[in-house]
Amino acid sequence: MSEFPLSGGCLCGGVRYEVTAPPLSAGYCHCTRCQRRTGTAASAQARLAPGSFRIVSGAELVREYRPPDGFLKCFCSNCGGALWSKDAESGEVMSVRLGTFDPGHGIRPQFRTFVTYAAEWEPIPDDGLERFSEGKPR
Amino acid sequence: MLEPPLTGGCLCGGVRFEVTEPLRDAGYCHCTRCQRRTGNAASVSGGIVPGSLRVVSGDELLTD
Repeated sequence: MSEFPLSGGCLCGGVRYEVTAPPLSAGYCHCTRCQRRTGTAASAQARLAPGSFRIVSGAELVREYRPPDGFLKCFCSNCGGALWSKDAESGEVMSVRLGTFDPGHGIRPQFRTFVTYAAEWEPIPDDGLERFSEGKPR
Repeated sequence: MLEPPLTGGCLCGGVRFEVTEPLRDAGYCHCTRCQRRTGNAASVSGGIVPGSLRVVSGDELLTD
């Protein structure tokens, strides 16, 4: 994996962030919420080590969608770019969307969660990644 | 494919739409813009016949 901090940001570049420690894990989420949010069959994301995340610029552009349960979904209000999820109670950033990292980060997904709800139009690839019918036990 | 209209919407349900004609095609786009926008490795989209998209509700929630 590459040198830390890793950096990334949204499509318009208004929001930029840093990750200062290796992520705990990374995986694909096939839940229907991630499908609607990304417009794709699954979301790829890295679960961060607590305290390893910092917004470098554009904090005022970040907007949060609060679902009935689960983590807040954070995105850029200027470009609509997906960014990260956040724990509503602690305020901790939990998972950063892999497509927002600058190239060369070296993170590779290791598992697939909520495969029960996988999109019918995109078969899950036979890639050997561990699969979880619901969430990944912690 | 289902008979049109196809229906869909966003995560919160605030925006709902329908597509009244069969899609022309569908495919993945791997450009860096789509990567940053979706947070994924690619975007997947259906190409629509011009004029066949109608916003059913939530038009005021859309921003360009």
